Amino acid sequence: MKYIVFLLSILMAATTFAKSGHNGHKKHKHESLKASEPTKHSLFHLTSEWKTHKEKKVKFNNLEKKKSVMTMIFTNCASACPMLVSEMKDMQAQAKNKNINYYLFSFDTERDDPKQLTKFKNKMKLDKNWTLFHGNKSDTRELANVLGIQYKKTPDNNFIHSNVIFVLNEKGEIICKKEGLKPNVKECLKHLN
Amino acid sequence: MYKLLWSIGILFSVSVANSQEMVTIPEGVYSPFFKEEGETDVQIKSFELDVYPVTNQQFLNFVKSEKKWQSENVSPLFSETSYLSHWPAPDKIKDSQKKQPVVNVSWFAARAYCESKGKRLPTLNEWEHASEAQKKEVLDKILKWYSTPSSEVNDVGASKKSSHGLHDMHGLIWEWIEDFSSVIIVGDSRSTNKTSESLFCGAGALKSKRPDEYATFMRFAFRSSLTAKSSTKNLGFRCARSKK
Repeated sequence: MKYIVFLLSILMAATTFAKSGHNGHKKHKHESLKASEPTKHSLFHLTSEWKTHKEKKVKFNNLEKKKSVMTMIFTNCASACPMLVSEMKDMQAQAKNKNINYYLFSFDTERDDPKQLTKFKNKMKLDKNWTLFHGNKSDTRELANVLGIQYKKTPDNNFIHSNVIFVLNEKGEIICKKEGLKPNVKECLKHLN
Repeated sequence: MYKLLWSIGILFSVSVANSQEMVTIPEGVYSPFFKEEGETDVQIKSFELDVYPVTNQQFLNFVKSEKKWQSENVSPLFSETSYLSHWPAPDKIKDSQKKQPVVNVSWFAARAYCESKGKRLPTLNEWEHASEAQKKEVLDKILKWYSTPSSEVNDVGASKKSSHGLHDMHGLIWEWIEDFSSVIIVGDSRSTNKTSESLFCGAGALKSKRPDEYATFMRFAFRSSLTAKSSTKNLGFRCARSKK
């Protein structure tokens, strides 16, 4: 009899242990899942897939969790786009924080493939902190709409588009927005210190 | 056995209520309202378009299965506070709303709905082509509608079928299109506002080819005033599909 009670209690202890162990595990898993879930206003909600100039496939959620500066361009742009890029280069030069990523997303779903983007990156002398992205038509339209950027393809295969530079924090939330082509980048610069 | 037949019956009727009738819009030529220099008429391929705008009932079924599009869960990136605000609860509609077109939906939500049905939003050119808004008799009807203050929204399908077999393209609600944000009026040549010019790359002068078409101008002006997360009480959508 004693023997049976002993066995039973061992069994009970074992099951409670297993149970609590299981629960603990579940809870932990849930928490870690929650921690990586994007915040309400985070661009990491976007599920679109992009190809970098290095031909690497990425989603917003895979982007490094650090501050970034981003805009949308097309590399055949003769007037405003080089200005947008040089403005961002100015920001990079003046930023005290050197641990910031610089992102350029292309409107030109047809011509701006990784090869063309690499060419543009070299031409504009953009360093290793810069990544250029290319996506499909639907995802490009979605990103532009999330950012509030209007654009239209013209008959000569160029794009009319709004000129806006964004600063994103580590969580992928927009913390500063610079509209228009004015040399005044001070407002956003303070976020890069 | 009866039970089985019964449930098959229910399944069948549910799927019918969920599916949308579509018609084929024949190919054609659309002459853009705002033309860029060098922009020519657009050849439009034949495509399929929903006969009716999407109803509250259909959208309710959608958010019941895709909970992230319920008003309490939807990300503020994709919506405004007015999102589905005409529903009594995030997963409930009034009986009287069932057949009314769903409104107060953002572009993102409309798009997600169409995607879930294996469809997409029509493009601006497709919508304008299918709506026959350039026909004289249609134009008169539109002008009459635009000049009447909006009252209670009617059920879908109450108005006469168009020659393409479509209902409610005009006279009921405004509709989302895929590329609404390509309507750029800010940089218009009439604008003397220098700051808005520097917002845009390239030639910002978009000129209307037919200034007499006030109704069309209204529609384009409305589109250009929207952002993708906007939702208003007279803006809904219907879905399109490319032909295989």
